[in-house]
Amino acid sequence: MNDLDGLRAALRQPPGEPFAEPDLARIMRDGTRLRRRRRVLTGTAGIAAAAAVVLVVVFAIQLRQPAPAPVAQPPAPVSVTPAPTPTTSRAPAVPAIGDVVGTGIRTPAGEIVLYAQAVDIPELPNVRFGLAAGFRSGESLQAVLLSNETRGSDLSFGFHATDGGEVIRDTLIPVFGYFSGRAARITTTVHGKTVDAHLATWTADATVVIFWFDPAEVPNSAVLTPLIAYDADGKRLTK
Amino acid sequence: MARGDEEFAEFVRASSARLTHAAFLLTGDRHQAEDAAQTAFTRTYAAWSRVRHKDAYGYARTVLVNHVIDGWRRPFREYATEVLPEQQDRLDVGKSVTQHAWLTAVLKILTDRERAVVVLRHFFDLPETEVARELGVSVGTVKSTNSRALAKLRIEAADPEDTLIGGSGR
Repeated sequence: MNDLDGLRAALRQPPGEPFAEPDLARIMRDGTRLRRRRRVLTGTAGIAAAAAVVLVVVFAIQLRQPAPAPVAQPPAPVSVTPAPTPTTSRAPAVPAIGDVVGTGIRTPAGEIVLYAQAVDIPELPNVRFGLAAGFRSGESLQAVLLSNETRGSDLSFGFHATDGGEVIRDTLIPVFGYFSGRAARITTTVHGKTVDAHLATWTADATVVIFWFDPAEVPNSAVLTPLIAYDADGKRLTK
Repeated sequence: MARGDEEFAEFVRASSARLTHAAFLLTGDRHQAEDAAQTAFTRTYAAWSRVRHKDAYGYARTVLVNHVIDGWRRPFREYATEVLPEQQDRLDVGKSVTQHAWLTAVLKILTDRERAVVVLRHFFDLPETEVARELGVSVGTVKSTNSRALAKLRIEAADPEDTLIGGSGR
């Protein structure tokens, strides 16, 4: 046995007193609150034909409570920090609510875009829209992932529908979501470093901010830490 | 209990000791370690439907490590070392109590990054490329950090790649 073997043995030596067992009931309770209804859209049909597309309903991770209590009142209208290359379309050929937000991320399937889309879920009467990620190529718009709130209102203060950070159709879809409130900055930390999200105000409701992270900085949702929103004065809007 | 929940419960039972132990090595604090493990399992449960058939353990490990790192001062403390430890006797697994105490003490002397590299590399057996990915640094940084950490630990590892065979990450 050499020194390194000895170190490894020491690292793996069980503690004298066993660690407390995780609280499984609490894990499931808290984890359920973090889940989001999401749909990975399969096939090649455009969003206009989404109703005919097979929807695989699974759950996604949300890093925050859906509606954290604000620690400060949202201020008057703020100017949102623009993304490096945001593009919007005022005349989408699809039933998007508000403008389609371009992320500037180009892929063989087209630019990755984000847009709100109506949802109608009887058991969720206060959820009227979700956020879709998709591809835009010319006039074609194709959704690949749709995420929506599952608790309370889709416009309650706080983060909603955070999703993405995974490869779908051979393309890494960035971590995205929306914040209901006048956020001027949204951050997370990855590997101990603060990372800023790109922001775009939702044109259908100026109190909602759509955000996404650069996949190079946030390659997957596992590396995220809880999102934080700030107002234009730099004051934290969320705990 | 739904089937997915049963699978998750089994996953927690099978992996909690190892992940909590890793968190303890990273934090040096039992309560922080147990809290970090709880957080990692909570987020893994939230994502269970899409990670259960992939690499759930890797997902939980990544969440755990980033959660712990987030709790440290940001960015990494690169100059946290106060004084190099006195020369220790070579590790002897037979002296487990002494060894455990020494390990606990000496890990605190390492910088955050050094400690993270040591835990990922030598506790989880991750290859350097995966350690680099987990920490968001280059492989060269992993190599140099690992080398520096082992030097502080007075570990002679002329060729750790040859010594650490496996790299399953489990």
